[in-house]
Formats: sequence, C-alpha cells, structure tokens
Amino acid sequence: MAMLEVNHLSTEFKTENGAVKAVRDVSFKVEKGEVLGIVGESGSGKSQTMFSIMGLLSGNGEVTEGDIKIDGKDISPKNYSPKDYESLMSSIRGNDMAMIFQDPMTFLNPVLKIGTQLIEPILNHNDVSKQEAEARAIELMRKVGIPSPETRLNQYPFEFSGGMRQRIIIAIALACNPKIIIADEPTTALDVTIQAQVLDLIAHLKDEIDSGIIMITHDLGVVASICDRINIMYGGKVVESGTADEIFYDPKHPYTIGLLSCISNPEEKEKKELHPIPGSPPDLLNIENYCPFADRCEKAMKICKMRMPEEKQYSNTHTCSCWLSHPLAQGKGE
Amino acid sequence: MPKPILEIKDLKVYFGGGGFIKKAPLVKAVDGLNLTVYENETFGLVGESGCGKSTTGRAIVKINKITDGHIYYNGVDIDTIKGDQLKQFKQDVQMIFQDPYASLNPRMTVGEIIREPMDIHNIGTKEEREARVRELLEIVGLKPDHIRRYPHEFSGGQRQRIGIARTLALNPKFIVCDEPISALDVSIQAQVINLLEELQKEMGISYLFIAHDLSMVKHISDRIGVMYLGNLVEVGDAELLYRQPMHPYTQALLSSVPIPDPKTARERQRIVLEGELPSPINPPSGCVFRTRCPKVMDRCASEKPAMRKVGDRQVACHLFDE
Repeated sequence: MAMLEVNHLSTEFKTENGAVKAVRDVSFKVEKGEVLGIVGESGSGKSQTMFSIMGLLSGNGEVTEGDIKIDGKDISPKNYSPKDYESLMSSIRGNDMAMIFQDPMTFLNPVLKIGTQLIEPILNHNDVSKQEAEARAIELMRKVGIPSPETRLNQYPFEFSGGMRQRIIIAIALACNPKIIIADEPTTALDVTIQAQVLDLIAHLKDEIDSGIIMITHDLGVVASICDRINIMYGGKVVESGTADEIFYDPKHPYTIGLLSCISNPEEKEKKELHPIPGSPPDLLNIENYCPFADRCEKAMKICKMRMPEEKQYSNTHTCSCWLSHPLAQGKGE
Repeated sequence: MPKPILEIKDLKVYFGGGGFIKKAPLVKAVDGLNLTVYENETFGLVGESGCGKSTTGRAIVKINKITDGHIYYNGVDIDTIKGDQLKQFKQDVQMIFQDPYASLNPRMTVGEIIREPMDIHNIGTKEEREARVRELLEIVGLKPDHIRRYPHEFSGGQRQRIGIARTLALNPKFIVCDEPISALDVSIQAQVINLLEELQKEMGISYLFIAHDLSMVKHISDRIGVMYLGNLVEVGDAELLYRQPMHPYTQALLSSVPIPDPKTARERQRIVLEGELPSPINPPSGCVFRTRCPKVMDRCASEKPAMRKVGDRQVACHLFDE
C-alpha cells in the first residue's frame, strides 16, 4: 500500500483581489522506501501542496477538493469538522508525518537544548519514560552522524554548524519512525560540500527506514542524484511525472524540456548554449482554465489556450499533460 | 597578449580588531590574494560561504577597506587615486548585486533608479538622460513604458534586469557580479546569464563573476579561481579546471556539485569532505585546508604553500612542490 496517496487535490487562497488557485488537481503516490522529487519554480505550488497535506495552510488558505490518505488512513480536511481535523493532524504531524525544513537556523528553538527538542516528539507520541526517550535520542543522533551525541545532547543550537543543525532536524524527523518524510529544500541553505554530506545521509537512510520521502526542490542536480521518481510542477499543476531516467532522458512536456535546456551540466565537454524559457511564470490569481504553460510555450497551439490538456500515459510510471501528445497534434511537437 | 584590466596583489581584508576595553578578534576574510583579470574576460570566483569571495568583490569597488596589499585598475592603485581619476574609476567599475529585492530603492521609479548614476556623474542633459534610460531598458529586455513603474511591480528576474540597466548607465569597463543569479528561478537564471554574455560581446566588458553555483560559473567563465578561507587555492582555464582539478579542495568541491544527470550521478564517486569550514578568526597554521584535506602531510601544518605554476595552471598545494 502506498505510504501517501493524494487524489485531485486543489487548494485556494482567498485574497482581496480574488482567489489564488495555488494547487490545481494534483494527484500522486509515494511508496515505502521511495524518494519522490517535486520540482518547480517559485509559485509553482510545490510547497503549498505539502502544506495542504500537512494541514499547515495559512489562515486564508483552504483545501477545496481532493482526498489525502496516509498509509490507507483518510486525512482529507473535507471529511472532518475543523476541530476534529486539527486534533487528528496534531497526532499525525511529527508522528506518521515528519517534515525537514529548508532553513536549519530558524527551525530549531534557540533557547532550548538540542536534547529537549529531540526528546519532545518522542515523549509526545510514544508511551515511554524520559530515560528511554533520551536513549532513543542518542541513538538517533548517532544514526545521522553526529559525533559524541551524549555531550552534544546538552548543547544549544548556536553551538552547531549549519550542516550539523540540518542533521539534528533529520534526527527529529526520524524520531517517531514516520510513514512519510517531507523535505522542503533541505539542502538549499547549505554549502555544496555540506550539501553532499546531507544528501549522502538521506540516500543512506532511505534504505534503513520504512518511510516514503518527498523531496521538494528546484535544483535538478539534487533531484538527479537522489530521487527515484519526479513530479514536475508548473502553475499549480503536475505537468509531467516519471522516473528520474524518464524525466531526464525522455522528457515529454515542453516545460520539462525547457527546464533541462536552461541548466548547464559541467560534465558536458562542449559548451552548450543555454535556452532560457521566455517570459515568467503565470499569476495564479484568477487563472484561466487552460494549460498554464501555454503563454510561454514555443509550441503552443490554439487549443492550448482554450482547454486544459488531458494526461497521457507513456509507461507505467511516465505521464504528461500536454496537447502535443494528442493524436490530432502529431508532428507539431517536432 | 591580452592586457590586464585589474590586478590584485597580496590583498588582505580584515574585519574587527577594534573595541574600547577589550580588543575584538580579527576576522581574516581575505588573507593574501593575488589575481589578474584581463580585458574582455570573465573571471569566475567560486568558494563556499565565508571564503572571502564577496569581500574581494566589494574591495574592488571600494566598499570594503583594504587592510593590506594593492588593487591596480589599469595599472593605477585604486587606494591612492583621487579627484577626477577617482570619479572616472567609479564610472568604469560597477557592481551587480545578489538580491534584486534589496538592491533597488522601493520609493524610486525604474526611470529614477537607472538615471541616478548619470545624475550623480553629471552626464548629458535631462533629455539625453531620459533617452538613455529608454535605450538601456531596451538593451536589458524591458519595455520603455516600464519607466514610471516601481520595483515592486516587477518579478525577480525583471528586477535583476533593472539592476543591470543601472549598472550599464555609465558604460562600465569592469563589472563585479556578486551572485547575480542565485536569488532567481532556474528558467530565469539562464535569461540573465545570456544577457550578461551578450552585453560582454557587444560592449567588451570584463566580469568578475562571484558565485557558489559551480555549473553556471563554468558556463560563463573563461578562467576560474577557487577560494578557501580567504585564500586562492587554484586558478586555471574553466574547462581544464573542471576536467582535471588539481588541488584536493577543488577536487572535493567539484565532486560535491550535484550533476543534473541521473546516470552520472549514480556512477560518480563523491569525495565527501569531513567536517566544516574552520573559523576565519583563527585559521589553521600552514595550509588553511589541511584540517579537512584527505591528502594532508606533515609539511602542511608548518608551511603555507605558495601559489606556483603547474602547466597552464596555478595551484597552492605542497603536493605539487618540486
């Protein structure tokens, strides 16, 4: 059974100027031991999808449609009263569902010892004594590669470097053997050599723990090195989904193709010319119901600005929503 | 033989050290840096946070005070120039900042922002300046009718274009680009990089391109310098440096760069460096990299390696001693 299943999720934010449709009809699954990468630019809805799943949307945000299941258990907000939903989610967050945030500096409470912050979720969600929780915390710190955990437990966050803090956050995420770990740009704030250390750790942990991992990022290099499957998001929609190899070597959607041709790969011998995608991402406020990429797409046809394209299945794992795959559009995509 | 436009000789920039009762510790941000940038060249400066790459850039445009050493622009020491020469220098050497949100005054219109350098340097009449602003907007790919708008009405990539237009207003010869693309989205990054390359082709500008994104630096640079803890450890042709990094730090840094190619990423052996960057307040003796170096020797602790020529390249490491 899938660790996390999301079907037709839509999220809206109410603003003075109208509704911002941040997430539009997003569906995906994450299996055990799998890393799903969600790639998109700022404003593509990748973070809001995750906040919708965790029930952490800001006050004016609302999940308008869709079902969310974690390990088979329904956690869609529409099926609960707001009060029930809140108490349900607080028992799930930090327990079945854990989060690794982008900025390790702001995630940890600066006035609490690392040990206190690490033991808290263990005590909250399990029926254990303080000593047992502490032993578990030390074991976790060892697991994420923190030297001499017994002394480090009594230190404060400022005594840790950025990379070490990110390891602590990973340890906190692992504290209750979560079913799903959501990592929102976990390495963006780190230097490349430290990023390599943390990515190695995540790749190594993936085989040891029984969780599914969702990795939200805009860095295609990070995605290529760690993810099994990838969802490409644009304008609040998943435009293409496939295994890492399918996305990198056989991209179908013009946006994916564009994204891949505007990054430079240092391994390539020839200096390739960068082909930027013209224009900028769409405004999600009162967005029309047609392909979100149509306005920047070089291959856009008339239909693209009239209707939303249907999803086409290329293989068991590879899907793409683009009008170019329609039988009547044959040859137009070349 | 290309002509050098900028020469940095033994540059040292230290911060702190002041204090009334107790002396504050000295932060050695840049500690003995030598570097030459030639005309019409892009020199990429890479390194992790805290290595002193931005401080070097800021010292060149005279934002940071030089503690010791010299920076020569067209053969003239920029620390001693005065009067008209200084004014000319400030026109010739410009900077593009990292954060397009913070580097534009939110209360000024785009027109005012781009015109300001020309106002300060008294260039042309009012009408000429206005015409130049429109021309600059066109060059950087914005519309002339954007002139009356305010920065908040633009996206990140467009704001960076406004910053570039302002930089170009005085026809600079040398531009320090301090992480100009790291705050931008991937598809927008390529737009800005292409714009910078076009401008160089048309106007013959030299760039010092500071960044931590190594793949983009390789793409845009002719030569690259790798910095670690205030020191330059390796300088060489961009392509060559990527193919065969010589310094152990360069090797580790390059192997840490995530490659956007799943097959290469799976097969590649990463050199994962142990530990973290030491503090620039109290840098290690001898070679600054020795605390994390996988090939450390006894000599490294006692003797600081000098920059030496190895083939077409310069490396500061005892591994390449004769």
